[in-house]
Amino acid sequence: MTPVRDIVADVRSGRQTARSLADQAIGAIRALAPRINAVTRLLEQRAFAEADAVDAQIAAGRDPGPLAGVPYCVKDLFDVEGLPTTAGAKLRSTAPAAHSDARAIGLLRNAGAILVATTNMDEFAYGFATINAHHGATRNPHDVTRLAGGSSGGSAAAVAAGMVPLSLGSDTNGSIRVPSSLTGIYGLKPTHGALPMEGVFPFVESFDDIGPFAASVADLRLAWEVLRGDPATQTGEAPKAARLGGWFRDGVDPDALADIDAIADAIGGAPLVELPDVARARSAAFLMTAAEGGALHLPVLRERAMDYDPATRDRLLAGAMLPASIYFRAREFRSWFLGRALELFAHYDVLICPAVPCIAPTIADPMMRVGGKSVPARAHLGILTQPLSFIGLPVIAAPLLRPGKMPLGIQIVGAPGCEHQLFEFAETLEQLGRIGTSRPALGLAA
Amino acid sequence: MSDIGDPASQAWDEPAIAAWARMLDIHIPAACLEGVAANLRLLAEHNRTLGTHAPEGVAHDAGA
Repeated sequence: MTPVRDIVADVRSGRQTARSLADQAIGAIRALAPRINAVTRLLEQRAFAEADAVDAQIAAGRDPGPLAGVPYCVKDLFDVEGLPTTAGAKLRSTAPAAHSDARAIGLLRNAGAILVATTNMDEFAYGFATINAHHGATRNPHDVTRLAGGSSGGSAAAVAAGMVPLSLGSDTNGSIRVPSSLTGIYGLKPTHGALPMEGVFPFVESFDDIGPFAASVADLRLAWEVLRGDPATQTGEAPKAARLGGWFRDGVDPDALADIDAIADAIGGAPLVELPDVARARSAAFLMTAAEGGALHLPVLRERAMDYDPATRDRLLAGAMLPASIYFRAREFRSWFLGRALELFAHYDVLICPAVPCIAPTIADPMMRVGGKSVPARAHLGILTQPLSFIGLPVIAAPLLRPGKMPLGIQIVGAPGCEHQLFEFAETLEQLGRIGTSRPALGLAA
Repeated sequence: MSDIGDPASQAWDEPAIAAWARMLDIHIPAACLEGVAANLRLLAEHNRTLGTHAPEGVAHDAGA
């Protein structure tokens, strides 16, 4: 995959037109769509109009911005002007068209980026698999018999397969970190509230966030800077790291643990530390998700329950029946758990741990092992991501460099507002050859 | 959300779920009862893991 900065330099210098880049991306999507099923709507007319506007600025001697001519996709829950925002649900395919773009799309457009498609997701973002009852499952570019992960699986697979260099997703419990890890690319779940949510279909507003996918740390940082509106601070100091133990190592693929331990050695040490009561944290996140998601959807469920994907509907209905006393106890626990995490950040800048417990499960049998039991991957692939996002921490999910093997990712976790330290640490690991993307078995990425 | 009942103490058979849903003015189609029951059992399990005792030092929800 060509680095985004090189794409932008080519467009700014006139070596490449934005229109030709949009055309290439659309061609790649068309070529790979039947095999990967990452895209739900190809926005050809819009893409060429945006590209022509960028090319016109270049011709007039103006700078279109730091993402000039860069094609990208968005998860199907961002408002796109003139289209219904489906959130991956058939029942919303006839919803009124959005009057304007989501604010994040506006920021990327103002920076010169070209929106080419919307991408597949679990219905209403309630899942870690991207198995969509209406659009079908998104397939992993590294092995099309396996899941891409979810719920932002289409956005991840589009970057992993080389269709586009950037995409946007959302992450409530791991919906950026799980698919980026299973498809071998980078994803950022920022500090809760750091990026604009206007025009994004909600799920669990207490911990919904949006973020970018990219094929390198530099590309991820550039997307973050554009969305955030300012350059990431660079301290020049090596962040002090520790490894998260306990819950974050139990039952995890031994290869991932060995790679993380090797990272600790490579950076001159990163002690094992533990967060207390992580099992309770994961359960609190699970309960809050069910309760808030159920409450959000209850008015529609009362009228159109049978129009939902059965797997989503039954989870939301159960959540809508959850007593408020349980929800508030989970919130109370969240406050306590955040305090324990902040105590660790008094001693360390970043915490590292696996992002997923195993490689991508197969689409034919989307199950995984947790505590010796076989459980649905759709609900459980986020077992290592949920306890961190429900307290609002920023996390970069980065692909371990393991050529020839199915991808696995790590989480680089920071204190709220400290994304810059995550980028610095990820850049160090990339330079050390510990993380990085590898070419998928199927795809166009070079 | 409702303040009625505690999932951990319910038998969670389908008639009990349907009755509770009626109290909440939620109609659960017959075809969904089994799936909703399975998910309620899962939530009950998570509720047991969360536990009933408040962690020490919790004064308020600081948000996240």
